[in-house]
Amino acid sequence: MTRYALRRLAVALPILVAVTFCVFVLVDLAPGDPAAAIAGEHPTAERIAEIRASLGLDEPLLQRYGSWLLDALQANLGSSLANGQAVTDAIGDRLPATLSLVVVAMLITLVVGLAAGLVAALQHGRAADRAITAMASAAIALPPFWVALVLVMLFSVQARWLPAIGYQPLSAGLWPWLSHLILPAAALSLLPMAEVALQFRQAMVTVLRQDYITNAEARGLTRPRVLGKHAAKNAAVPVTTVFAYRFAQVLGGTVAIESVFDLPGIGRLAVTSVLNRDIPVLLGLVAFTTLIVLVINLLVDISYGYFNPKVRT
Amino acid sequence: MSDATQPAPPLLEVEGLTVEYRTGRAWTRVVEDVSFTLDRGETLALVGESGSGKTVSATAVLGLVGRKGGRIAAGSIRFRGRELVGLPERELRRLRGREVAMIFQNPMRSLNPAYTAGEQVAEVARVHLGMGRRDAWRKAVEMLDAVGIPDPERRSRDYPHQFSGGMAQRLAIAAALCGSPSLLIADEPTTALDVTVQARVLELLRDIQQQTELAVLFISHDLGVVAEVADRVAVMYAGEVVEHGAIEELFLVPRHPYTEGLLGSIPVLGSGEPLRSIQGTIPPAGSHGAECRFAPRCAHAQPVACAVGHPGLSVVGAGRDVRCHRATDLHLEGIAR
Repeated sequence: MTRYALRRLAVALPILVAVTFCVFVLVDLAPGDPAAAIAGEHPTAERIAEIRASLGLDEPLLQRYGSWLLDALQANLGSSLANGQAVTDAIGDRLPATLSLVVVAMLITLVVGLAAGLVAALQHGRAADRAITAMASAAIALPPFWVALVLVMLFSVQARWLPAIGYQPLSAGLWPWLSHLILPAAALSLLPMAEVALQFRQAMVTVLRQDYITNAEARGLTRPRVLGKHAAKNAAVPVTTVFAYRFAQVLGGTVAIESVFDLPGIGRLAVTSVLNRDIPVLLGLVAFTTLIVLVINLLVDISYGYFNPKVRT
Repeated sequence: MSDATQPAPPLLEVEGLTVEYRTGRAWTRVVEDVSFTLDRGETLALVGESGSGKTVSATAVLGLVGRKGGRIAAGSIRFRGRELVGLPERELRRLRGREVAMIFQNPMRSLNPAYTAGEQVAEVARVHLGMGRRDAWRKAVEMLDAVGIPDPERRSRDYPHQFSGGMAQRLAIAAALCGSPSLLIADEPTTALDVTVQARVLELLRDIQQQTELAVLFISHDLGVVAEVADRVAVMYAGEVVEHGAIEELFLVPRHPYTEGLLGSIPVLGSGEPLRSIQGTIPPAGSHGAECRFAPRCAHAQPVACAVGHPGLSVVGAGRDVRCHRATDLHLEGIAR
């Protein structure tokens, strides 16, 4: 098991390097010159060249990437071109809001998605199954930002149950924190929730037909034990796959959702850094989110080994 | 309750069992009026082609037909004199795995791929014997050892896919017998195994039976295998028992043409005779009219007598029943064991 995990880790590192390199090249190719942006209005060519040199932008691409990577490996992501704040600090400041949003969204995804999938599987072919399947299929077709606006209309503007915008840290209390997260998290989790439900339903329907389930029943095990232990562990693999895949999209989705709900998170930081051509911040964000996605994928890979012992060997 | 002068009831008594499955809006009869008994230490074989209703009859004994979308429409199943039909699920659960256990055709499919060998056996010990984690695990290792799995300590931590077919079936037997049941339902337990492995698994079952007086309900389509293990045989066709008797008698003097056909399809080494097969296929459930269900495939069928009435099961000797219009006037060919 440990060797399996180490092997997955060895694959993850080159991916991190490759992704950041690609973004580095893309930013370099993008039109616009950060030095010109910093220099202000009507700068002289000399002034721009000076700034370029001070930022190290006149060095060859590979050399620039190399020194960025060396710094990054020591957890130094440089500092913002816009306000001089260290990139790691900028990310650290914005992290709690995004982390809260993503964790709540993923919790909703798992709890509601798995419950709906289980009910549909147990009612396979009957009305409840058809209703859940239809709703999930519809949910997949809805864009999150639109869902977000509808939710705000219903629950904030009309019912006035939940705040429409803003963020409160967890230190301000559980309900202030949670009340600001429910709507954005619900909007963000709708799609992954629907997919988890559909996948879990399908996996459970297949698993429940297997001989080992009949065998578990024939051994006199209770229904919850048969479902929760014998069936669920086997049905978990496709669900974790969808979950991991959708996790990356939820992370990306925060860019839009944080803007709609005015949450001071990483997604908003990404938007500002693109608009300001704040390259160090942008690169730092890409490296950071890539790392998170890789860690999640690593955990999922390890979970495969747990759920399905055959892949370990 | 039980009178001392009365003989103890047989371990298992199935009487007039009729099972139906839902097909669309209607119910289709897949097992009809099946009766048999089984005593402790005894082996009864249910023999027939796939679709003859032998597995359904066995799952009915475990009270599992409802799970599979079926129902027991009529009949009774008594275990140690206690009626199982209509027993609440909670009571049935206490019986399954503890009093009545089951092993399946393909051990690779009937063992849960996500749990270790030890866990699959230990779970039974925890649930039915009320053992703690550590005791249950120790019991599991003992059970693996008892069914002849070498190096049980180490193997208990392996997963089913790391076992060979024969070893996996031994593991399934260990899990089935962990609750010390008095009845084992063995559904084609050797069909998926290599021939040499088959013989060893059958030998294991026989050894266990001798030591523990375990009764075995042995389901098979293979009379050759049945000859190795069974005391009595009930031959099933299209959801009915068509012949029933002690194994020697049934092999030597079959009384039903279908039994004769099954016996004729067992290869006999050096006989020089070509293997015979029964022409045609088993009719689908629910398609039966009022005629003898085997008549369309029967070499001895008579146009009028066999096509008109449905034959009942009639007693033709001690512990010998046959469902055939011509049971008294036919002389059929058996084989020496």
